[in-house]
Amino acid sequence: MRRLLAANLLRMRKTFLFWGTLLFHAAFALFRIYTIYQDRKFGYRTTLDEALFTVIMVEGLTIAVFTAVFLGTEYSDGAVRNKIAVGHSRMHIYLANLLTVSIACLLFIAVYLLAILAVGLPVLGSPALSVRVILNTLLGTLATAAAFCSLYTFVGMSVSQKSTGCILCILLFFGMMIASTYVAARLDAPSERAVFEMVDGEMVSHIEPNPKYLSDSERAVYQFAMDFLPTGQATQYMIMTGRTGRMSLYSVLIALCTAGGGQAYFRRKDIK
Amino acid sequence: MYNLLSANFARLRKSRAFYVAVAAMLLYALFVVGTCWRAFLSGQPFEAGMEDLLLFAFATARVIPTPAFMTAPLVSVFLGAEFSDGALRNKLIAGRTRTEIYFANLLTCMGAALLLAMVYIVLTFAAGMPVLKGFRIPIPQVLALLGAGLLALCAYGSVLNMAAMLMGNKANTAILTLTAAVVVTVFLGITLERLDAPEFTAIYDITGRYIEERIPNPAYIRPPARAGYEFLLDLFPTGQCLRLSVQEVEKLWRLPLLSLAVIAGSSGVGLAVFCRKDLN
Repeated sequence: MRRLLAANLLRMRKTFLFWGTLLFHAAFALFRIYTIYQDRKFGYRTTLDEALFTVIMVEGLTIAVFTAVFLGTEYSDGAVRNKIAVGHSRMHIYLANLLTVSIACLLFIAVYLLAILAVGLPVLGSPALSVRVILNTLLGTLATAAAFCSLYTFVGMSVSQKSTGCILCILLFFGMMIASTYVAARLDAPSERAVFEMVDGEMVSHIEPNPKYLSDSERAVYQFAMDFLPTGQATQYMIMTGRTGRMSLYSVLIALCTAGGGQAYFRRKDIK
Repeated sequence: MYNLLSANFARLRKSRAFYVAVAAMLLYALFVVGTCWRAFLSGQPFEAGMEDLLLFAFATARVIPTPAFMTAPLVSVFLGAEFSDGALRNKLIAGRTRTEIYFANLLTCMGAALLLAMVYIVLTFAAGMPVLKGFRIPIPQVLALLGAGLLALCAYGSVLNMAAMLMGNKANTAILTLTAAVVVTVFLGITLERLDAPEFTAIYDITGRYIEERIPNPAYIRPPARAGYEFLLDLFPTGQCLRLSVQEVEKLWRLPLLSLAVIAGSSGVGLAVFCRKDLN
């Protein structure tokens, strides 16, 4: 498997896709610093902390595209078939690809963070949060990134056509993002709402219970969904939640299940 | 060109991607209608007219341009197959001009976008009418909004056609169109949020009690920048779709003109580059 991994990393190093994605992450880091700096001019009290974990939501989309193209090329160029013909086991091929995607993701996040610190520290000053909290949240985001990588590798290795793989990965990300946005909106619904009505020609308002406010049992279900979905985790990391332990556990679970399921499917897949 | 068009539509009719897109649109329509029926059956107050349901054919509540995400993969796969299967090369060998091929594909893309929208409109009208009991605004206004939305979808189809004909590759077209759709949606969402900022904000005392004073809101976008943002929203077909879905349109007369401009511009650029493209 070491040879497979080395071959993958060598191929990755030579692709425009990899370097282009690295450059995109550096550019996005600079853009994020710019937006925080602009918010300060409007009078908002912003700190460098806000920039540190924005990358994880963007990573969900970029790694979807990267994985689908990188793994799709393996199928279209016949590399998968050649690896099997040479004697490599399907399990090793799958794991090598998963590791390659994970290493790429790690490098993308590293470039982003380096750019944030290199430019953000002189421009925006030091982060307000303690090092312990930052490291804790960072580990959580890496777990979420691993979940994304595993999900997309499952799709990329299961679908032979590059175009179909790309479409499925991007739509999967967008679907998860919509779901987590809806769940977040339901969780944020207030317990009461103001209702306005005309009485004798005058607009009067009264407060009544909000029918969209979740009950305790419903709230538990919605919160679980928010903690489970990788995009829900990314949303919570962007506001620096303290639920990193639970969310990291769910991410590891997703990564293990999709890796196991993906391997099982890939083992039976007909490689034309 | 008539032969090219009929061949395209025959291929579209047999395309699995088309039926997947239709199925996705049907599911979306069922979801929207289902929400109305659930509120109706549970006795919840539900203030919406038929026009609110129909306008969701263009976007979901000013948040997601749902039809855009169904049309982009369809066009990518459908037109990408022309290049990969060699159909494009065969058409050229048979004597068709590049202009004919481009415009036949353009009309096919627009037709596909309109077909998907009509699937939604017909289903929601049939299933939603018993619950909503009619329109709350005059029918000519409903037709004007629907017309502007359908033209916006045609403009979107034109842009997708340009991307597909220039990329010449199923995978690259899918990546470009879908990624661009996500990025543009996020960008337009942020723009809409910035435009929603009120001109004045209230100030509160130290206990959180409202004091009846107004101060200018620094986040409010003032003219002429405001006009620029509004124009940008109306220029993007997905921007038009987002605003039409909640009838948040001040200058309805401008939308069809901008859609036609987008169709003309994207077709002009696309055709010019396609005519010079090396088709190997």
